Amino acid sequence: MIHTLLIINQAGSLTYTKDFSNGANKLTTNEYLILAGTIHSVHAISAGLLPVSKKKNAAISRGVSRRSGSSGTGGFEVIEAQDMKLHCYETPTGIKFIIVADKNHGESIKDTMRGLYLVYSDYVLKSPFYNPEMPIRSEIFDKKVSKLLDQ
Amino acid sequence: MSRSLEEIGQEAWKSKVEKVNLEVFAFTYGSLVVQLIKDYEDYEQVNNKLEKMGYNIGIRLIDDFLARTSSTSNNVNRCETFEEAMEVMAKVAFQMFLNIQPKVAISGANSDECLLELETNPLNEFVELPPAVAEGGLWYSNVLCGVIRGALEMIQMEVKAEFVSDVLRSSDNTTLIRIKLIKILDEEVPIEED
Repeated sequence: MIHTLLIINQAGSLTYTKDFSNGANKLTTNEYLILAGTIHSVHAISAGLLPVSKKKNAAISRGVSRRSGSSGTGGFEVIEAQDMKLHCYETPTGIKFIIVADKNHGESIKDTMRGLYLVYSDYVLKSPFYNPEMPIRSEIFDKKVSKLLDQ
Repeated sequence: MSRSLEEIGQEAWKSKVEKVNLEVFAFTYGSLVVQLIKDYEDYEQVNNKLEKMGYNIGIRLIDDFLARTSSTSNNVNRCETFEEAMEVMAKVAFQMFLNIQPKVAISGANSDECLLELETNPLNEFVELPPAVAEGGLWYSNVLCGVIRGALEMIQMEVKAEFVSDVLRSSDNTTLIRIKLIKILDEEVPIEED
């Protein structure tokens, strides 16, 4: 069961929220914004903890590769609590998809995330009137997301 | 996981993307360029405008590319260097979107420069540049440079992309795009700061 979906853009602001279950406690809009900002920062910092391979280190010093820790490289993937897990999938371009779900979702959540990324690139980014900084208000995207996640 | 980039590109092109008729594609682009020439009456400005349009396409297209190549089990691994990114771009991305595989030649002291040789270019398909236009300095397919710049910027690589030669200009025998890495963008939270 998936409870909530959040999409956070490159700058760390929340561009999309959707609640699926009636059971979970809901946050207010403001709390969602704070949560999104916090996840964004924690994710970036956690990526800084990762070791860097030798090959990559050499490339970094020549300036032809990026340091680990910048967006799209590592960072936490799951936060686990007693009854639920918060999954975070970051695309190489730095968009984050956050799903709060029951614990019984295993690897399948990764496929769901990729499906979401596809839907996002098709129905959000290809809309000529969508501005990447703005919240996503698209009926067709809404429908596709519901179809994908409402199992 | 041992499949070559070429194969991944082929597969992406066959099964992941919708196709559009070549004539529609080439004519649409052609009329766009001609309209721009009429509007601006200056080839340098047309080049700039095409580049800008390409940039706006690129910053969106990169996600399309990534979403489609990461949804298979043999997805493309994360590129760690400029060189790797160029290989993937030429062999998978160009293949997927344009059904061509340009040759990649890396150069520069830090391997931070790349020459793409396009053996065929679908945009050129029915085009003959009038001598006046070629001499005026129009790079007919300049939109590609913009797409490359936009797409790479979204994965933290700031590059400069420009045409070096184009078969459409009667004096050139090859179509070459030069891509120069300017810097890797680091946009993270500053961790070292105390």
